Amino acid sequence: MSLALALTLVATSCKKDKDNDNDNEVLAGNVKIEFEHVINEVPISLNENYILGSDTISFSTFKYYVSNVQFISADGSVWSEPNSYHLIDLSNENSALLNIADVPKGDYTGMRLMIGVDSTRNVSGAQDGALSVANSMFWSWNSGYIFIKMEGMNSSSMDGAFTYHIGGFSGPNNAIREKSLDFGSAVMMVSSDATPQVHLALDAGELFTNGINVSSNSMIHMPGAAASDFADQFSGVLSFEHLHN
Amino acid sequence: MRIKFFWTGLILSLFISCWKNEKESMIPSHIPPALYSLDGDVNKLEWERWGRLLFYDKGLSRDSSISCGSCHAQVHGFADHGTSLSTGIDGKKGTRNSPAIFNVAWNTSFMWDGGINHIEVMPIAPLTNHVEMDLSMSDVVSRVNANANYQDYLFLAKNGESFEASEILKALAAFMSRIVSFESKYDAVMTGGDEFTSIENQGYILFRKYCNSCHMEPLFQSAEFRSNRERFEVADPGRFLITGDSQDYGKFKVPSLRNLSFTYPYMHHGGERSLNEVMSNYLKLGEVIFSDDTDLQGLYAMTPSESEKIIEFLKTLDDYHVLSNPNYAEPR
Repeated sequence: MSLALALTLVATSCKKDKDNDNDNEVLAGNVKIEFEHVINEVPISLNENYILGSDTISFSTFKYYVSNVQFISADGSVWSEPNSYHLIDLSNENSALLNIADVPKGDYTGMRLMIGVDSTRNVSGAQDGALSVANSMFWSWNSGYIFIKMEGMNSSSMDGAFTYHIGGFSGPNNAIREKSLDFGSAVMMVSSDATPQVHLALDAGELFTNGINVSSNSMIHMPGAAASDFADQFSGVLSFEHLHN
Repeated sequence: MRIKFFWTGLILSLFISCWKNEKESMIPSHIPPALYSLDGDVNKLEWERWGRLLFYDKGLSRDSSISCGSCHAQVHGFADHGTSLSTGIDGKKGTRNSPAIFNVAWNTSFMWDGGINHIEVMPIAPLTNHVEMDLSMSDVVSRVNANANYQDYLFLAKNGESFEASEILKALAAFMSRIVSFESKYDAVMTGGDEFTSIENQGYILFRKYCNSCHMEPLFQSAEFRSNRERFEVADPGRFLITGDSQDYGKFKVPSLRNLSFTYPYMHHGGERSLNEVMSNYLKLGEVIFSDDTDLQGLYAMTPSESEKIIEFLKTLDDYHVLSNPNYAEPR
């Protein structure tokens, strides 16, 4: 018992020394960002049917990349998460809750993120982590990441199904979308003793009601005008919901 | 004591010479620097060795029937065995001629349509294509991690315990970029170690007149996409499938002209079986065969005797060392 206490003391004192050496550690905290995927305010689960006007829709695959997360502080300065690549996959519940570590202490009034993967990582060979090609989010025949992959069934599609593989990182086919999300009157207060949580909502009901017309185009599987338009619509239905400190 | 020292020295020097032999990169002075290299990586040789095992691993096809080496055979300059279109698993045929894998570290893009932008992501296409090896990349990762032969190389993995897809791809890229072909007669002539015969020299001069604007020395390839036919009569849209630009319809990457004696048949469709056939088609340019590539108009003037001399020159680009280099061979 006393040995354990001694060890704890040693460990604590070491930690403290380290903290004193490094201002960043003591003056930084974590932030959680939760992505909520909804239809008519109902959270989406894979392979469940949802009513959409006179149609029904279900998703067998729903995954997308979020990268280059930035927080904008009250004074206008910007903090960028290093090596910021996240794959959100509805088949893996934990993936919709991002943990952003070592955010400098301070008050933040908004954030920015990229839907997709920046062009550099599309041309730099085999990547790891969230960008591993084992995640089935990379086109083998026309190199580049699939930024958004949505597959499922929709009653308004000609064959009842839809397949959207959205990507493209260059020229007019660029489907990378940068999204700014203002926190409105809310302020995200980052410190070492609290983990604020930002809630973002992706309204798939809106996407398939006013954005994507499944009956006219139920398949996109390469970069191009249709993919770019999809990216616009997808980015448009992502919004800031609320945050708590 | 002296004898013991002698033996130790002999064994040591043999070991060093073997080791040096494997490590040596044979890039002569007339060749520009490679675009991809693991120089500077202390484990370069180990990446190459592991990559070689992966290249010849049939376990990386769905039914464990074929490896990369099945359609990229050393004896054929790492092209397929004289077939127009290669056979993947279940006897399925591909749609384009298997490209020869040598000097690929100088490539800016990969495949006939140039759709692949980096040597490390190149293997994903054959590994996952349903008519080639037909695995998912996560299957590839599982199979590699289950293979006891690869445990010796686990120190190359970032976590030291299991391989990631990126590591498998890096190893394959390391091995492929190691396969270089610069020991042809042409290379010996360029470095002053040999001389062309009179007819080869005439062919060389003609080559520079008619061919070099696309198949550029000293690699005899280029990063460009061209068509030597009426583009819209070509069944395969080629580069158009990648760019969506109608200007690219029916265009394909300009392939290397090195090692042509081993890498037949020719063209993206593998439909031209000999150099005579290729050259006789070029002789018909402007009369029977049409191309809107204005650079090819220079070829309208080529005569049959000039064509024969060019073929004699092209044979000086054959490099038999590629076929026999033990570092490239299937491990036995």
